[in-house]
Amino acid sequence: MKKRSLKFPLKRLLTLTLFCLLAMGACKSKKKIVEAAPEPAPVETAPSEPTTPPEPSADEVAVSELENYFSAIADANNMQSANSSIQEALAMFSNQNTPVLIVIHEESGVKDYDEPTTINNYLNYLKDTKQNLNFISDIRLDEDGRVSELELRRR
Amino acid sequence: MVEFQNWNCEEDNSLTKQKIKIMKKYIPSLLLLFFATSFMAVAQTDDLSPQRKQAIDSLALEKVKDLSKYISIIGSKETQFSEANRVMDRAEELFAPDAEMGVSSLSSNEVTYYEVRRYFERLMALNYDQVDISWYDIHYISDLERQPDGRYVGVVTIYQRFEGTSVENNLNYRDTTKKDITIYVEKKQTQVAGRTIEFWDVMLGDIRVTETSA
Repeated sequence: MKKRSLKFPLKRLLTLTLFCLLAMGACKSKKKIVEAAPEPAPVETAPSEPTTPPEPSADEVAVSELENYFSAIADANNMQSANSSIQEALAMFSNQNTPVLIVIHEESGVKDYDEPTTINNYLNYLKDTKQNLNFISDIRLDEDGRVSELELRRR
Repeated sequence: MVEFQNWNCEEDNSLTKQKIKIMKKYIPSLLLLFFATSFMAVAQTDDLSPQRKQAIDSLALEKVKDLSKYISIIGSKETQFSEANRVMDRAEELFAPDAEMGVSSLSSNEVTYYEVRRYFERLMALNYDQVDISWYDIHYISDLERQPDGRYVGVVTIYQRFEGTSVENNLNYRDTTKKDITIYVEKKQTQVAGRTIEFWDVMLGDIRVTETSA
């Protein structure tokens, strides 16, 4: 018997490892059960007064304003009107070279971008093509509340 | 002290040697399998899903449509000089270096090719009081296909309607030209706000005239 056990130390080691793993698994599942303990019953509260909707964040305000400018520039009837909207929109940015990224596709968390451009070029692009094909998907503001980066997506 | 009465050292050694021999036999096969899997994984990253490919196709087609709008603005006599120059810069950026634009006329069978900037300048200086240029029926005649160098190459066809009117000479010229545009799409990297961004760079190549009619 002894000879057999010494001949296969690897087998014995594997059995021991398997046993340890099973034991660890059991501990883990126990932990999960503890974590998933039923929540305490909800406490009845007195009906509160109707709450006012939360104030939009600075990001949300900036997105809304910019979307309006994008539409105004693309739909402008003449160049003067488009240029006026461009100047107003540019005032919202850190500078005219603020980067604008355009996501053309996203798959499994990987984004495909068009060639990055600047806000000045993008606003003029809207004026030239008279098309507003993208919407704002992400915005970054600097310390002064000006837009420091913009990410757009195809509609 | 424990005694191992029946333990045979030679037998144990021979078993270990056998195991090593078997392992040595399979190591090359395992290594080959590992490298084959790695190669397949790398190769798969080059294969675009249909949705991803469609997004790139659309992006390239959008650049051609952008060019059509730029050409219309540059050619229009209502466009201010400074504005036309700005648009020329943007239009030029769409092209690969040394790309050429073919120009034809109903009065001649010849097609003249100009460097794109030269073409835009000539277009802006055309001796008409009014110039209307529009592109239509823009579509792929050769889908974007991956080349051995990693670039995607395709061909887009467009029809261009040109109409020039001169009030003084009572001159009115109009024609329709069919043109083929070679498209190059390449994945590139750039730095944006300290981050590396990978993007699809679409470049327009030569624009060749294939048909001219009234």
